[in-house]
Amino acid sequence: MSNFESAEVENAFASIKFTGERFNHGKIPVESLQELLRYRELILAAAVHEWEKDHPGQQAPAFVRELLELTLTKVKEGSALPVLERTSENDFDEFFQDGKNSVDQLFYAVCSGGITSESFPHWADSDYFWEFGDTLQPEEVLSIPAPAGSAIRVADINQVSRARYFAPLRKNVRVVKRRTQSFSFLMGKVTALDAQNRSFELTVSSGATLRGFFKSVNLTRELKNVLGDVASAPDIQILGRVRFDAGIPDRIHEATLVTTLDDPYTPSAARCGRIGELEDGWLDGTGRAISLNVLRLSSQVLSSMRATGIKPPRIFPSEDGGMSFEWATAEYVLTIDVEPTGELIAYQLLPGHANGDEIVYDTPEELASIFKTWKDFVGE
Amino acid sequence: MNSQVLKVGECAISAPSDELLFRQITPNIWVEADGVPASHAFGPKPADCGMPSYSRQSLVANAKDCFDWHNDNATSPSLGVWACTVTEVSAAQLVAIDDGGTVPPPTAPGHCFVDFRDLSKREERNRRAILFRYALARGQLHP
Repeated sequence: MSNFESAEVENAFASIKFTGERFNHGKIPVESLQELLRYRELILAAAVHEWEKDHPGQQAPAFVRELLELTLTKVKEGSALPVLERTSENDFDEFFQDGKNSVDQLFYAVCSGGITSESFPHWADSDYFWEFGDTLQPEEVLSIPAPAGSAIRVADINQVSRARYFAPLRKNVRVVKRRTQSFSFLMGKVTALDAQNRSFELTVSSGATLRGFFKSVNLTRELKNVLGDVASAPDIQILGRVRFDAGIPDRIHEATLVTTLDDPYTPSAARCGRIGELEDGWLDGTGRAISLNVLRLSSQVLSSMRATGIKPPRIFPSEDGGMSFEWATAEYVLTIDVEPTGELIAYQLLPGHANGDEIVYDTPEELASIFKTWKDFVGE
Repeated sequence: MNSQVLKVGECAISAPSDELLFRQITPNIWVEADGVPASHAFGPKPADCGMPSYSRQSLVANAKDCFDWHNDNATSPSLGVWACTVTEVSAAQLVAIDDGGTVPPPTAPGHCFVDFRDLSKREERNRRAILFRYALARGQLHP
């Protein structure tokens, strides 16, 4: 449906309007036909995105592209108003319609300054979007129908709106794309601490200083113990949620565990960080990536066991996106499973027992008592 | 013990014996720095549908041949061969099933599986831990 108030285009699949002297009398310069191709490619990208949202874990079939056959059936006079019709119907119709609506909505949001670089959809991050309208000359306008219920009927794209909205947004989207975050570990020295605001500074070996934050009150004491200047502070390892800019760490969003390099738990924390980098499909094509919540809980579990002085466990990811901490010998098998749901399950197959048993815990702190019991088997 | 119906060509290895059932350990993230695997490695992976693969000692020459065959043919390389006996599988209230005649080629020599089908997560955790403890008592067989 169109917002151009024309019965002839009311039932068209799509229509965008060119306004300007070159478009008078229903003419479209050949170079401007690229805009129609870009519009089609964006609809296709949005439709594929809609399909994949409806089919988690699957990739849209390659033939979808062939199903979106658009034909220019008419160019209305006045300003050029190309009418685009679908030439056939198929099982993807609803996705193409949703895709078209998403594209129109996105142009409206951008032209009204109503979208941030963080919320910009990845399917639109292509030259088809960023170069949309670059064939326009001064005073020419390309109008896209606005979504139903919008304050305006069309989103107007011209040289001014491209300079005001598209160019800065593109720059910011690139910065956001460059930034990634993952659960990881970093080495360095704690050179500043603000206990009240739960923030600190970590100076890394390159000499760069990263700002870091933490939530757990317990970490204040641990950070204070290792605080100093670059010359005197001990080298430490911090586990937590780290932001990277172009692959280089530039902020610690949330520190969850701090260990000195001689701490027997330092390799365990590093192993947690490496497991945190696993991607979906790590187990022969299956195996879920470990969520930030599971990783956060896992560091708290490590912190809780370290406080009891029990020997560090072996650490493994589980196929469903959980994390396992295990002590096992020919005598016993003791496991803490951090489930994807956040449940903590302590399983024990004790010496001389034919079968094991398990207890479910709600918080990592509650595990302290079982660690103290297990320490009798496992040692320090 | 669960009671799955066997398919044509499958045969339960029900008589207790000291025959070893070799288990290849993959992926490498399930092997810690000291070479000891996770208890998870003795149970089924999601793709196994409750039927983790083992190999019968009576039908393969030794753990090395079993390891070499796996690494020549499987997509995930093995880091080591561990094993439980048929009696130990029974002690874990599980059944080993010889399905060598039903698996499409390339079929690992002596292929069989330990039947975890229809077990709850709790039961699965317990039974694979029991197998794991037996395997740890024996140690890594190869390399």
